[in-house]
Amino acid sequence: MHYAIHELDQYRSRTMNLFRRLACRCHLLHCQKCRAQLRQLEQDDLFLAELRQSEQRMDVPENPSEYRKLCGIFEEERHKRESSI
Amino acid sequence: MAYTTKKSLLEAIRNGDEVSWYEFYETYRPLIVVRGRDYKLNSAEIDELIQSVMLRFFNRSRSFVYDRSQGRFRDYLGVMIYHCALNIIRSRRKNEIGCGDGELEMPAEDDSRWHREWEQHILTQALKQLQLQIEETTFQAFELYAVKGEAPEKVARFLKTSVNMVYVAKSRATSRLRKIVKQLQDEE
Repeated sequence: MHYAIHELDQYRSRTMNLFRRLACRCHLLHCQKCRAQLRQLEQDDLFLAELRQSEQRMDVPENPSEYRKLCGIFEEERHKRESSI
Repeated sequence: MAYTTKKSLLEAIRNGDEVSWYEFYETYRPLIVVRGRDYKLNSAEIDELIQSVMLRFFNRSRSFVYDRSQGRFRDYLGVMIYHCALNIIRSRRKNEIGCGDGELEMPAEDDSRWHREWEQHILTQALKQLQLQIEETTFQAFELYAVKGEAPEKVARFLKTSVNMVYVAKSRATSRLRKIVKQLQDEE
């Protein structure tokens, strides 16, 4: 029997109760497959930390008036292009 | 319409597709703003930077052909932003009393910073694509728990699901997200 991914996540985040935690720890000592899953969860957490950081950095407020202004400029450019042809 | 690949987006722009222009703007605007901040531009100058990058791309869009063998789009865009920022800084310097048009200093480690920002941009784009690819509840569970850091019990109550499902959603969505990131990186 192996631990499910959500159980290993609970083990990692210490939300599993003490007895189940101890049982899980014993199991992990002998089970290579669950240890590999646990390592994958650790990798996931690093990846998600990077994602959170990226979300914060790229969180730029929208500016609809800026886009409208750009559309106007594009339109002018298009006319210029067409008239030059 | 959401263009799934950069190639299809750029081709649509080349053909003069109006909707794709908005998508291009929406996709790359945050990156241009972040770059503008790196170059210590003020808010009006950042607006000018967005405008000049978009306009420069617009003017070149007809002749621009996305060919991976000719170089990465990341580099093309990076150079374009750099030149536009340089022009803005130059014109600011001309207007400043006592400042000549001497050597302009750009931030050190500019390339590695750009590389990092591009990777961050890829991650945020991947998250947007993930939302379109998985069930709404799974995405919400993933976003609330894994991205926003809410407690899994709270997320489960809010979504009227089990705590186990929240953990499973996180695991599945993370795995899918990794695949999307890989796909976006391969497209470059």
